[in-house]
Amino acid sequence: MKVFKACLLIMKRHKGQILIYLIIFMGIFVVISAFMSTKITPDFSETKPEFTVINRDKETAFTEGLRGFLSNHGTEVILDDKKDVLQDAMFYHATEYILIIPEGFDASLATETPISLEMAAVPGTGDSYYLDNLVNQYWSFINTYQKTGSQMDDEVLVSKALESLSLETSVETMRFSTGQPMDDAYYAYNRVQSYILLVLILLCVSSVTLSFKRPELQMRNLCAPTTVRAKNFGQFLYCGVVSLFVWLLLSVMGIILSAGRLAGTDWRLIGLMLLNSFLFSVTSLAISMLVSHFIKNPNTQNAFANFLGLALSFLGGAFVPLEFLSQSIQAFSRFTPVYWYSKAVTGIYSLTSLDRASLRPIWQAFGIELAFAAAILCVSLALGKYKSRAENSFGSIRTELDS
Amino acid sequence: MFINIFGKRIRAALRNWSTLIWTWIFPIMMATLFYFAFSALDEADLLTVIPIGIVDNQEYGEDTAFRSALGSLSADGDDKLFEATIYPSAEDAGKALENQDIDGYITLENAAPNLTVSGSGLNQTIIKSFLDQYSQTKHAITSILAENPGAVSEISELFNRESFTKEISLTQNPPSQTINYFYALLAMVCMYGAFQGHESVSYLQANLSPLGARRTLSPAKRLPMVVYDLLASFVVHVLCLMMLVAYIVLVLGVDFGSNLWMVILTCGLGSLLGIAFGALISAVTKFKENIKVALIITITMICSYGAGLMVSGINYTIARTLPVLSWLNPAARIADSFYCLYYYDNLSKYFLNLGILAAMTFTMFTITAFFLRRQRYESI
Amino acid sequence: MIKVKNLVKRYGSLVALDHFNLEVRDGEIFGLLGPNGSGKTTAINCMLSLLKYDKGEISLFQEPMSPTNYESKRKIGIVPQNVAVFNELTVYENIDYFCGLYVPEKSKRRPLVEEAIEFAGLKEYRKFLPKKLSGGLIRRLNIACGIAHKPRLIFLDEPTVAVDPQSRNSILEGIKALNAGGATIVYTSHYMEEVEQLCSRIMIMDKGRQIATGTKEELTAMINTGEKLTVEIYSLPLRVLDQIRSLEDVIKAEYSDSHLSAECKTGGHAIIEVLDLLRQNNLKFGLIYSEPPTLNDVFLEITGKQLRD
Repeated sequence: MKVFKACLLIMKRHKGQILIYLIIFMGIFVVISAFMSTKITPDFSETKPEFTVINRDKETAFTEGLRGFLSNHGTEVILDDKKDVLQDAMFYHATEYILIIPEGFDASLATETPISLEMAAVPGTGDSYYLDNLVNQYWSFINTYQKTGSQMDDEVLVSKALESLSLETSVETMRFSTGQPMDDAYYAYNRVQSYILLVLILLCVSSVTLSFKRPELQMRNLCAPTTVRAKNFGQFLYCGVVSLFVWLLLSVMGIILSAGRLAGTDWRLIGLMLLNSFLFSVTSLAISMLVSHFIKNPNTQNAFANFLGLALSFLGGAFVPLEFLSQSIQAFSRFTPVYWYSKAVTGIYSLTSLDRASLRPIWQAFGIELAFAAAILCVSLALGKYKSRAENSFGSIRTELDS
Repeated sequence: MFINIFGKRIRAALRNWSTLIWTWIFPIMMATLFYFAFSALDEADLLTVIPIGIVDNQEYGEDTAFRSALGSLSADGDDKLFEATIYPSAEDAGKALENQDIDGYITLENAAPNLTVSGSGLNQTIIKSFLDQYSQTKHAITSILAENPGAVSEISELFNRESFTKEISLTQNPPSQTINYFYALLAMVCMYGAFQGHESVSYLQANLSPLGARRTLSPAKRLPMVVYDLLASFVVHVLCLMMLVAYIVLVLGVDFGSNLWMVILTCGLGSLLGIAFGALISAVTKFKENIKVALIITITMICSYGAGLMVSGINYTIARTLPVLSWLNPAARIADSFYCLYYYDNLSKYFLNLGILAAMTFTMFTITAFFLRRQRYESI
Repeated sequence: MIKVKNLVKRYGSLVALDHFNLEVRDGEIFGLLGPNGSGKTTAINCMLSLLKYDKGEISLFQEPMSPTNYESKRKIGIVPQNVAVFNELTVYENIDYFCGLYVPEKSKRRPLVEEAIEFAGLKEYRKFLPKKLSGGLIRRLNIACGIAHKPRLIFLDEPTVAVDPQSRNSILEGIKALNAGGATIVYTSHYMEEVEQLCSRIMIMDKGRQIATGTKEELTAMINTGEKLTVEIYSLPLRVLDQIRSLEDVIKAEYSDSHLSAECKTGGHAIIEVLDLLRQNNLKFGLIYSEPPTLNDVFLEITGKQLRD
């Protein structure tokens, strides 16, 4: 118990560091959730990609009609007709599709060879295909009405075309899950959580092992009349308690931060999410105990925590969804625990029913997380046993003639 | 004197492992992770063939116009938009929808197509748009023929999908969602030059370290000592950036535009700015060593965030809504300079960025120099 | 060599140096002795123009000292209290670096650096980084960095703190050698034995003031306490102890553990009187020894407290 208490005291001295990570994490999460629109209506709604119309010709009933038509299916972004403004907007996806109506377009419409409209977009994207298709649809209607409708007013012509173009297909939405879908922000929180869980547990565990590993201190501890078993038990207990604490803290924080948006979500899904993060904290604990063997001083401690945390999280799909990773990376990621954590998070998020078949991949991911924990723990214990043999443990003591 | 101070400072910097890990190895690791994690990011926006289902009923069998419209879009080839599967009943199609084999299925009822989906998205919107167009065209034909029964020949044009637009390119290089992450990363590393600047100054000031006191007491003239030391910091840091740029360009194959000399110029000015920033923090503030380092990291992170390191595009949003903030953010200026080199054909904005960076660097060095001039202290 | 007149230095309301006066003569080893916090380091930092001071005059080499007095700086060597070396440079590179700030020419510098390495006994360690050196060796490196350029005036600020006795002795021998080579030395310490052993003149400081200055003999002569007498005796009746206490030349007498100890006045005949008294009372006694007064006694008598805290 003495050892356990000493561990807690050491941790207390490092709480500033932990707090910084928590604050940064909360900051990241708030930013992420701000970028996420929560869809409240379960019914189908059209995706409305951003477009820009630059009119270098005169405003006519036709262009007016085009704007109106496109605005029904997209979101208009108004930009100045300056090259760099358009370039920037395109680069940063402020607009997905820029349509330029060149000078003299209107006049050329009636002729045999009308001038083409100019469009700029990121080549090959779905958004630009969709918007370009709409533009063509509009002008082909206008064109046909012009050629068939004898001497119609432009306004009348446009309104006739728009009448046809306003026809919409009815869409039915099928819901497969019983409750409301899980909040996107909570889902994102759970994904990114793997990084912060790993880093925090690693820091908490290694801070303590680092202080216990100082040769002078180790010597003192070894000379004390408590059994090795009791001392190890104290450290293990501390590691377990602190991991549990970190998990609880992050879980509560996640629920509080997305409190308003979780109402109505099936509680069993939230339960699965919590179980998943709990299992991952067990894995993190095992990783931390293994890595602690290699941490020699406080400088490398932070480097280790961040390198490992970032690398595993990036490869495991914590920051960027797994489907954006290339196939070879995914094949590699399968051998890292965060991959299975993310897989489970995504699986739970997209669960449509709670029957056995749908849950199977999730149980499988849970099992693999636990297997990782067990395997890493075994390696760590074996390494610990090897390192604690007397001739290895004091290797780092300095002597006068030491090189 | 020069060789002694300069050479030893370089050696010392190259042996300082904790700084090297953060300024050399950490960015290389981040770049590698960015590379792997974002490799498919640009492709995610690309249009892929959309799997749809069609419920086979009597109406579908009879509607040849619909079948041919659908057929033209699901035929193999460059224009293939849909991968259509025919299901014998709505239940079967529903099952396929639940298993996410298809994005939606179409049922023809009462002379109009109906769409069933399980959620919203661009793919679903495109399916709907196709059906809309089909109905709209049908409606248009009916109304035109009602008014002008002789216009049958012109009507064929409605189905003849003539393109009214031609694609133009605004720039030489295509937009990319991943590239800005690398630019922001470089901006962050430039600002990490602050570690070197801070180290130089704290080893020079008698009130900051015993080493500084020892050096203050030597008969070496102050200004040359400071300049040589900072110059060594600068050389080490530019070396670090060159390594990173070489790694990003040669190993990861990220495009920096055609003008690599300008890229190096930007790195140089960026490092100078970072060093000035670190020197300023070290000389002006009176905090303890680790608080100063924390301050440097925090400011660098906030600036890098504003330059789009964590969320790409945030720099654009800030530039549009709070332009002053964006112009005052050195990391954003550095990242924007790289962006200008890659994306613009005109370099005027690039040089404007460099000018601002130079002005910031000059200001920070001037303030630092003012504080460094003092060699006697109230307390040590 | 050094003249300090009425130096006053305040840190806020705390007076660190209170009208401090000092004169160091050419060629001597001058010891500044005082407990921790008595103002020794502050005094040195003021003399070196590192600190601003509120009042007073300081001249080194008959010239006023200022941060830009490079001529004077060139002749000074300092060994600061805290180890001031680059952790990233090896022993050789560190000494070469600091020497290089004084002696720019590389050809002239090389023998000086070699000599300093030899002097500090760091020959086998020239390629070592400081973190690989033990406490004693790193102190020696700290000294070597300060003396390689053969300064005429050397400030050593507690150079033996946290050093094992063997290293301490070699450091003290080295300082004597430097002095023999013509350097004037200002040495601060709170170990009186070192100062007694090493310094030709000593100033005792407390609370920012000088308490006494002089050679060791002059200092001990200043106080009333003379030698300390200890007599081994198996039993001593209280009556006899009282008689001893009443002797004119005895300041204080105690009996415990079969030992009688008495502090005697300087210049008196206390030993003879005490022994006579014991003999008169037919008391048998064994070992007798007397010790001359130490600087600690000087400090104790003047300030009323122990030098070592």
